Amino acid sequence: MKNKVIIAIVLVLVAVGAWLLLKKPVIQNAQPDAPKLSIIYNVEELPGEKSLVVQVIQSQLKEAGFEVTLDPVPSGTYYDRTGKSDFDGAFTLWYLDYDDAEGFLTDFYSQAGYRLSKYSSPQYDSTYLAALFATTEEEKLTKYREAAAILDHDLPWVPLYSNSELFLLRPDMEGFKSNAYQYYDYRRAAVQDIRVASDVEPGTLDPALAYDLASKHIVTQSYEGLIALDEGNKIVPSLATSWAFSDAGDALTFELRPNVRFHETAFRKASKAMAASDVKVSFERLIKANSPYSYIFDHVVGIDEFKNDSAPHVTGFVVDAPLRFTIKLKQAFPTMLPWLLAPAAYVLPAEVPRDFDVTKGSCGTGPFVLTGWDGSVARFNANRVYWLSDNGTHLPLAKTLSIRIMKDASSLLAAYEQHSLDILSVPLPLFDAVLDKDGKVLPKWSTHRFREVKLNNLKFIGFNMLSQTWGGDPALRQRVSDALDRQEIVRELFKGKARAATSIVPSGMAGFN
Amino acid sequence: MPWRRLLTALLTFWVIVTIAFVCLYRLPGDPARMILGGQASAASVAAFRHEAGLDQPLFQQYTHYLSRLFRLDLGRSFALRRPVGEVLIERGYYSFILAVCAGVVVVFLGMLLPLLLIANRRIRALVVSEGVFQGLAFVPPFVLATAALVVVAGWLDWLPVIFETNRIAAWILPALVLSAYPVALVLKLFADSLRTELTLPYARRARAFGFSHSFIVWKEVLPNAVPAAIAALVNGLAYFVTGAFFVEIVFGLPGLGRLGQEALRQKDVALLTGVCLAFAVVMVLLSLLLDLLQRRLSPLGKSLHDD
Repeated sequence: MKNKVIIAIVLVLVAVGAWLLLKKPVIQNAQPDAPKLSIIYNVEELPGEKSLVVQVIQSQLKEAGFEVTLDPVPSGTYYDRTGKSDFDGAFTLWYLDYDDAEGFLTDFYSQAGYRLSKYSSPQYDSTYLAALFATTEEEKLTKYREAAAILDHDLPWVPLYSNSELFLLRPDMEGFKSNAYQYYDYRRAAVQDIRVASDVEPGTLDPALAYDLASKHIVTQSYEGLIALDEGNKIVPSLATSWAFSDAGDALTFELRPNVRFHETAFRKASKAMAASDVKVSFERLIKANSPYSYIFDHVVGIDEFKNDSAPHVTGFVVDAPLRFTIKLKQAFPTMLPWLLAPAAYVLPAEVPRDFDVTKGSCGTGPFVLTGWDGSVARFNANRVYWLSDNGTHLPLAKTLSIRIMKDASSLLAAYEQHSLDILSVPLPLFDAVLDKDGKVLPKWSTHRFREVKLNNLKFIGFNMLSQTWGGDPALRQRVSDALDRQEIVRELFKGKARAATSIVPSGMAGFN
Repeated sequence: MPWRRLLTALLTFWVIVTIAFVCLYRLPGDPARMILGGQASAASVAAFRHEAGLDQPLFQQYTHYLSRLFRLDLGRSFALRRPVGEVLIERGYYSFILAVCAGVVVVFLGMLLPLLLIANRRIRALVVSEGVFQGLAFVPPFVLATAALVVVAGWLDWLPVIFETNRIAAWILPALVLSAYPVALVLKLFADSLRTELTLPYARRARAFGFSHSFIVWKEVLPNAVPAAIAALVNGLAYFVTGAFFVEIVFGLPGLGRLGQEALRQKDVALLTGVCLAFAVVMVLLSLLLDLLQRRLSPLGKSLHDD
């Protein structure tokens, strides 16, 4: 008898459970014609932020009648499937090394080296090329805006938001600077030992190959280019003191800074002064290193002969004098200058051996000399012969720098609280620990400094333009775009520390204010 | 006998290399793309593949690797652009230190603790400590490591959150977490074997002769219980190999486990195979050690184990 009662209860429970599981949720405003949308995203890149944002996207689209499935994948699968156009939509980000809208427009040019969406439009191509080879700044920006308008109408990418980078700093770290393109400048931080962390694994420590933010963070401490971007995103002198385009715009000449010395390294004990010949060899090395940036010299005279090994040197790289270097271009190409900001175009000594071990030391001219990389920490000593000083005070001010890879947000916060880190770059999962609901810094941190830097990056949903369903129907993409409440994402998730994006090119870039 | 062992070892290595190769090639993702990044052009990816030998057929890469391995050349890591052997030694050093630290913890908590408790008749304390360590051993190592880091280092602020190889305090937490499972294993087996031995006729007879309890434990029972403990200890050490993956990743300890994870992420075949081989060598050596020790320590001598 007792057994029968138990069996009956169990049966009832199972039936209720099955009913709950199988019951279809009632969707409000269901639009039966909306196709299913699967959103792929790379979980190895900004995992904390992405997993939160995609859920909001999913629920917003669901309200508009779209059935959205999320497809989190590791990097390998992500590159594979986006490369083969095996996806509907991808939630991802785009960031640049330079303040020029060209960087956001290149993916849609049908002849570009890498293309996520595989968008193609003859009208777009001609506008893009007209901008690229415009002879005046005014004409260039006009064409950029036209090109962006075409994309914002066609929506191969649905722009979502551009976020801000938030930092908590110890009071004495005031001298730390960074900009909208995430160049971190520790030269004026007035502490003995600077200890910072990055939540992304660096792909490489070779400047020629560095493309991800963690690699760039490490590489930019030891290596420098001819020009740099300052805190206000303006191009400023670095290894070059001045530069000028020829009247026709097809040659770019740099006057190099005298008495800049390369770090002492394993292959050359005594430090050596930088000269124009080092610049030439560095640029040629980049082209031969299979760098993701090897395209930046595609408009230089003699590049094709050098690439197919029929010429030993690039004829367009000209050493005019020991401290003067000219780049000869096939035609007027003003974007050559910002392209030289890429860490890939940094200057190394001419005699750097092919098998130079970039994890054991550095050979650049930068403010910090790499002393080692053990897989989780990059350690540096100050470069005592660095070329820059502030009113007689030699820079950098610190004696050592360490950049540590820490991927777990809670350990990051704990380490900062424990005084083991001097700067906390606040990832989205830690916003609640730092900010109140209105985006104000919590009283707990009142003795710390707080920095907010608006980044000129773009988080977006990129559609697969080769897919029949999503690529073939602009109205459908428009419906997705209309269904997304960007302000809600900015307000609720980012506590106001982001900007809703309405165009492919982030507001705040040169010419897009 | 030694020849058979060597043959088994070689076979093990071959199986590992084969599995590592096939698995990596079955995984999605192009290693060249992983290193050059999403925005690299198809041309530079192709050039990279050619330089790293990734454009050759799988079988050719495999035979090429095996023939080099035969000459004890582990090849070059194309992500780090360095000889694999060199990297293994550099990073293996940290894993070795971690294993030694964790090994010391296992000997203290897994062997000395039950011995002292039994010798002093602290049976309740023994049961409690067995329970505690069993409980810790049931927590997945990844969770245990993260929890330990957040609670002990973060909230309680007893130990550093950040791992520095030259700070002794930083090694404590990783060593404790890594040893949690082996301690539970060794503690249980050793305590059980001590307790069983104490009920055997020879121990009872000693008691009847008036020998003190602690004398019986130390002089009579211990030698008989040690082989079981050693076997458990060596098995526990083998666990370090898998445990290291989780512990090193969570604590940011730059050892072989973390290296393996990096290699897997970038699909660096030579490096990952190298890491697997390094672990395999450790396992083979451990099992050899186990055999030798058991033969030496077994009270019944060699006759039982010789075949």
